[in-house]
Amino acid sequence: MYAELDLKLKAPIERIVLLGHIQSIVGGNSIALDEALAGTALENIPAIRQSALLAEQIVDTATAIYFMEGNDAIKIHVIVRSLTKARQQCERITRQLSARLGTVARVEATILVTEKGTGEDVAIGERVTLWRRFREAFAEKFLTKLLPAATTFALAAMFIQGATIVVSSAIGVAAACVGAFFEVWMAIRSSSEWKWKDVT
Amino acid sequence: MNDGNKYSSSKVMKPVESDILKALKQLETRGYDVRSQVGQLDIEFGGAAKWYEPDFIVVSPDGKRLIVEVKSQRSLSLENIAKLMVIARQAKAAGDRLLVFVPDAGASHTASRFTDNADGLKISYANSPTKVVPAVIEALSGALEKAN
Repeated sequence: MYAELDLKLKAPIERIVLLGHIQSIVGGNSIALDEALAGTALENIPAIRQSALLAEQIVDTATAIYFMEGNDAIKIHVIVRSLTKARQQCERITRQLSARLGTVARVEATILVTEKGTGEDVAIGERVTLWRRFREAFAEKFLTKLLPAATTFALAAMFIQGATIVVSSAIGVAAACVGAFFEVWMAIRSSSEWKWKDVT
Repeated sequence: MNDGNKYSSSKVMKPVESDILKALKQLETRGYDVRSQVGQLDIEFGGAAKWYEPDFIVVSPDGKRLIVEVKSQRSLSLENIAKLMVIARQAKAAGDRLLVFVPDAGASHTASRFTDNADGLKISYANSPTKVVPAVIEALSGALEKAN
């Protein structure tokens, strides 16, 4: 089983600069590229071999080979033993690279198993931005919290005589707003940065 | 390319593969033979993997064979590209051709630097039956030209 992680950068980066960043992340876990590529289908394809930057081995967990794709994308081939480990390693590598580079725009991951001689995707994942998580949480809370209060206020204003009732409905809307934003904040805090989907 | 070591696969076909097979079946009215569950082909990938089972094989009326592999865009991994390049090379050596369909890529797919530079690997992003048949015929005619 292996995973392939694609990181798209916001701006081009020089190969030597990127290599330096990855070296500082990998540290003592770095292994020779030839050793990491040995026995894989990747070792005999020159175009792929030339794009390889560095290899990392975490004993009994994973082997990750970092490739540069063009001048603004990084591809990481991660050899693992389980789906859980694949997800963990994709999330760990993304977290470390994002923190180091600070210019990662989009991240996608695919987990594959070898079937009939080639890899078939079993799970796909993507890193979800904070803004997207906010929008999704807000859309949900708008329906459950704000919409009923706003409807109550609108109906009260239209059909019920007396300012007191309308004002109290407006206060209800304001309270629902505060509650909804608080719940959105809590939902964002507890939600995962990654969204994974099994491919059937 | 030795396909003597055949066996029938019991693998369930994915929806993208079924769609391509449905389109390929149109070729049978023109005298082509479309085979699914074709068994293993011996392939030397390096490492432990020494075989490959194509999704389909199309045989033209004059006997030329086209190996058809269907992949989702997300499964066009580096390892798969590398393996498909090896398969394409060995197929060519045996007088056959390999065509890879990536039907879910759509018109706005982003080309990968690795697939662009995949020497000898023919990838079709056809996503409708009307485009699958011409892609197969074109790939097979390429095989005929080389053979002649």
